[in-house]
Amino acid sequence: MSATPTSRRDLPGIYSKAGSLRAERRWALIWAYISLIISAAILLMPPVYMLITSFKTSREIADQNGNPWIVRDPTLGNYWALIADPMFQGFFFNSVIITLVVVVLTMVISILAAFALSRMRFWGSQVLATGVFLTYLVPDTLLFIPLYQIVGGLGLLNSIWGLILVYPTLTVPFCTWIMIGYFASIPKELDEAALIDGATWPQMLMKIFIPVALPGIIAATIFAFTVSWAAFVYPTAFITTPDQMPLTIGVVSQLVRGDTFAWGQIMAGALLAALPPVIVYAFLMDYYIAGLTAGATKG
Amino acid sequence: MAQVSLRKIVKAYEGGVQAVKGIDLEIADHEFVVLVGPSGCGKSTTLRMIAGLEEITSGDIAIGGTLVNDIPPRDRDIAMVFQNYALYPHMSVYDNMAFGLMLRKFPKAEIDRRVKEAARILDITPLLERKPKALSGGQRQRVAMGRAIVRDPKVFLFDEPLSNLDAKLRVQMRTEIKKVHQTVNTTTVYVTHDQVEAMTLADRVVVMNHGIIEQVGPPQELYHHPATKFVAGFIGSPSMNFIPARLEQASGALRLHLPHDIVLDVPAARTALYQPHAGKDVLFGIRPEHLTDDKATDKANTAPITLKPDVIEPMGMETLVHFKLNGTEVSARLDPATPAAVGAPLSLIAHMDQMHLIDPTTDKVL
Repeated sequence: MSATPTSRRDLPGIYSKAGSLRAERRWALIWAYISLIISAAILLMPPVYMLITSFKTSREIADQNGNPWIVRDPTLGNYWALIADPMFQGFFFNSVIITLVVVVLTMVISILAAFALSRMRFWGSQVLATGVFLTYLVPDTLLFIPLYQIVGGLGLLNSIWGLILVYPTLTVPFCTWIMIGYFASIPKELDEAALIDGATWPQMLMKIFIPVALPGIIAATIFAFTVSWAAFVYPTAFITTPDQMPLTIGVVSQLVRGDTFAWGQIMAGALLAALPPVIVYAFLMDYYIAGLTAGATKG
Repeated sequence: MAQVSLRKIVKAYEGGVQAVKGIDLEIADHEFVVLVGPSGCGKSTTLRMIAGLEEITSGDIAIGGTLVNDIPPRDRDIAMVFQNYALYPHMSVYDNMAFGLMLRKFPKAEIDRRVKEAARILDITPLLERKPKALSGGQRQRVAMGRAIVRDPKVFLFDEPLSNLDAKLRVQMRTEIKKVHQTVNTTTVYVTHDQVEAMTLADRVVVMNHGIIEQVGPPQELYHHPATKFVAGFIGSPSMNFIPARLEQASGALRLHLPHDIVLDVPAARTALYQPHAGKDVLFGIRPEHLTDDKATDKANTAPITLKPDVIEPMGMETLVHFKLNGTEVSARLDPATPAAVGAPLSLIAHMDQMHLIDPTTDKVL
């Protein structure tokens, strides 16, 4: 019987290579953690500062002495004042209405458009698909001027319905693009099988594509939700009275009285406004990532 | 009753590329027909045109006597099994099989009866509640077949259904498909690039190449009487040897002169057939199984050849030996007990009653 090498001494080349791979991996992890910690610290600093400030009284905020990162006399007063304020409730209600309607509108348009563009091959469908994405590249800071004319012409200035009309210009192109990518990752044989099984195009969409593409639809829904909940430029340009304002501009415009900034309430308001997206992301993050990366690799 | 008729079917794509160039084919009721050929020969396109998934450029397709050119797939009363199974991933096995019947508004009890009957035939009853992702490749293919069976269609269409399975499972599923056809006896059109699948499954094999049908016939006919060099080379594994030769007249008989001064006598029974080609260059076609060791007891119509092997491949039940004859690759099939060594002369016999002669200008078998 010939001796079989079993120890590291017998195979120095292989083991030293394996050792160097382990060391490389360790260093890569160390650097990854260092950069992640630095990024997280930079990104989390503003919300943490907001949270700290929201628990302070106006007097403590104005006090120049002491460490601003420490709350000496914590209070929930800012939150109670906002929650009990009918104007803030109105901002919240407006944001909810706008977001709900925009999300539903966006998803109906995007799913139908993406299905048609990705599956029902027709003349010009490729150009249209690219065109849809290109429209997303035009920033809202450029679009709001012509849109102001249009919304004004329709008599919808200073109305949440004006916002409901214009927000889909931000959400539909990107959501359609996400859905095109997701639908494209569904094997073509699935529609062919459905066609042979007796499905019409609408049945194929409802019974096959929507259930199979649910992660993509959830990703697009989250995107539409985030965009319409956090939109700032359009409401700033189109809304002038508090009764029509959504949270984003309501908090910053109505909590600044003259030259007095109610910092505690502004911070509390901003945090309360950020809460719904945070909750949505926390629960649906996996779907969001799966939806955005669909079609990147064919499994 | 469902015969399938293809009349002068043409499929041309933008740019003028013709995938199918005017084929005619009559498939009888209950028949199992296999379309076989290399990649790009037009077999899958033909199947997809029968299914209605591809439009035909010109010609007519009839199923059960009804012209279906402009009828959508759902109204053609066909069922198709795809290479990648195409199961609906969000539905259970039961729902996958029931989907087509639900769309056609069958009563629930009838759907249940059909699904359970198909599951019994395919031995997938315990899997009915599972989702496709929880099934193996073979099980998925059974479900795909079940989805076709429950519909009780006029025609089954199979598009390379075994290509995604490993070799062992492929053989097993091949037998299953044959059993299912014997049970349900539905007209079947089956596409494959694997000539073994074609030979084992088909009542008739349709060999396609470059968008045309080279030959149609029962498997044995294609094997023994190929019409063209392509069919002769495509059917059979390893494929037929083609050796350049010259057919010469020799005192009332015919002889083949091969490279390396090898001379083989043409059997008397073939003399009349080949006589018009005497004095011409031909291709001598002989299958490896008809070029064997000289142990045969009946040596009538055989001719001796001595060659030096380049490569020897022991397969267990047989040994394949490969030679080079003036630049032409030649294979022979030997008894595994025959001693053979690379470079050492090996005495073989050619079974001349199994020979083929091919006209090198037309590639037709004489």
